[in-house]
Amino acid sequence: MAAIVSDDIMDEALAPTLQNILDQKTLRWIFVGGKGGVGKTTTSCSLAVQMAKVRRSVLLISTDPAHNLSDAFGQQFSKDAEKVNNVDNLWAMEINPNGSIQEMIDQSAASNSNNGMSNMMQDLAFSIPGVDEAMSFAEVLKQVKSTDFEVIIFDTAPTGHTLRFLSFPTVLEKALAKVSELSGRFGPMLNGLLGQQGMSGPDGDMFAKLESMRQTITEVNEQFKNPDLTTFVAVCIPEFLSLYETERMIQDLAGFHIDIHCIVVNQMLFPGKNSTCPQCNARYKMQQKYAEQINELYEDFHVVKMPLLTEEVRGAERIKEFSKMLIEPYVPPE
Amino acid sequence: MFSVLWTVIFVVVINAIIATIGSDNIGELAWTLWVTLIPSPASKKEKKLREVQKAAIALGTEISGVSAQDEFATWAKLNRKMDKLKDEMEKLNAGLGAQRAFFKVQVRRAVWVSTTGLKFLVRIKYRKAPVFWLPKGMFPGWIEWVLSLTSAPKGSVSVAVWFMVVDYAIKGTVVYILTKSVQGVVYIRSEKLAKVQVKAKSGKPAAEDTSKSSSESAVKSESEKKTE
Repeated sequence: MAAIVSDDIMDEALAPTLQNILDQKTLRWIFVGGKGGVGKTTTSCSLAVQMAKVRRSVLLISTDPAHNLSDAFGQQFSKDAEKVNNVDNLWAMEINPNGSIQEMIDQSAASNSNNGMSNMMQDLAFSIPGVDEAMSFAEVLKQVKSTDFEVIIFDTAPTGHTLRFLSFPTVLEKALAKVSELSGRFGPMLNGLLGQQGMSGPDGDMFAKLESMRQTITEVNEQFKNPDLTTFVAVCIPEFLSLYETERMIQDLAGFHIDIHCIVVNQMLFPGKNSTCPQCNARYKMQQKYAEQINELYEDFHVVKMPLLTEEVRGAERIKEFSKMLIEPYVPPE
Repeated sequence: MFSVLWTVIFVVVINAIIATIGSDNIGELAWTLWVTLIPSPASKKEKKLREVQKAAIALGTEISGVSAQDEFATWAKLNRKMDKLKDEMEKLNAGLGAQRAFFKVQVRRAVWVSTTGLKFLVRIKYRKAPVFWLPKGMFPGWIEWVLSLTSAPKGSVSVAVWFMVVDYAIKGTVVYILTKSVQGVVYIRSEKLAKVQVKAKSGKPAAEDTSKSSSESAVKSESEKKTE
């Protein structure tokens, strides 16, 4: 789990900013992930805005079914990359992880509605766990690979989904082998029984699609495991459950050999000394306790602490304002 | 002289003993002995596994003493250690499991050879030898003929028949001994139980009855198992 970073960054390893990510020019993929409701979207938007200042072109992708990019920037995005207004060099897109598989099923159902064998095989193939997410992901990755964005930032769905996707190729490989073996063995026989011919058409098509998807995922996963190309930014809030999930995620990522060396702690409260708000003071105390624990546990990480604002971070201007704090550590007013 | 008669009895007794212990248990026992007594890669692994298990248990108690909320950092660090230990344990277990299964198959083979195989061998080797002669005229001719099956001289008892007789007798003895010992244990227990119940005053006869009948049924089922 030890972050693999170049030496000059190591020297300032404790710098509580994301400057190191801006400086690491080789980075191509950045994932932003954490539990739901901790401010992933705000963080990823802010990071994207900052990245866009120092890179030629940056693409921000949301794979969260609850799309927030449109909300955050106050601009409707679709599944094609679209320029973000008022921010140079930044594009954004939102993809629905459940969309593409449904499309594919409908499509193939329309083209060969009465081929029992191929339908069965499709059902089998689609019952592979996680296949739908992976498919949409692969689709997006294909698109993204063909374009030449310098950096691609993922605003991921809450924890589990991302990890499942990252572990997907092996699962898929095994499952695909089984399914194609089955169809190879029983396909001709069933076809003979049913008196049909030419199942190779649509069915073979589907397997080709699955196969190409697998290749894309495997290839991209190789890149994800390279700390020069990919990094993960964990977002959390100073509360027990969030910390717990973050720790687990960091361990899992280490298991997948994915680099992670930055943690953003959101929603820190800084009530003034003369504050008379009992809730704020109590919460401040609790947050400080967890913040200390974070510092102790993740001493080889860049831990960025972001304050809880009194207004929602929405609209390009506010995000720009907020994003500065990722680079310049926030100093609470005395 | 170690006659055919005693050879057969010896073989059957060994068979009966092994059958009561069960070849699976013998395999387990042999594996434990092998791993603890004889230095080998497997025994090293087993030792390592024991150590890791001990460490994991110690760590577990340590973790349970740390509050996750108040000392998250310590708690998480301990958990990382625990994860590592668990990984190691899994790896060791997987390696050992295969070795152990292989070993047990070998043991079962050896057991089979020294029981069923031995029986077979003795039966073939001494098929023509008379185990002992019957007094002349004790049985009618056709019974003498049956007792000498398959190829012992007429008027003697053949190895095959002798095997059957000894087998039957030994099995019966084993079942008898087991049943008696179980019965004895149950009897002592129910005796104690009855005493306790009496001591607990107002000795309820109904309660005693049920305990007796249940112990009897236990004995029954036990003996039924053995005869199976």
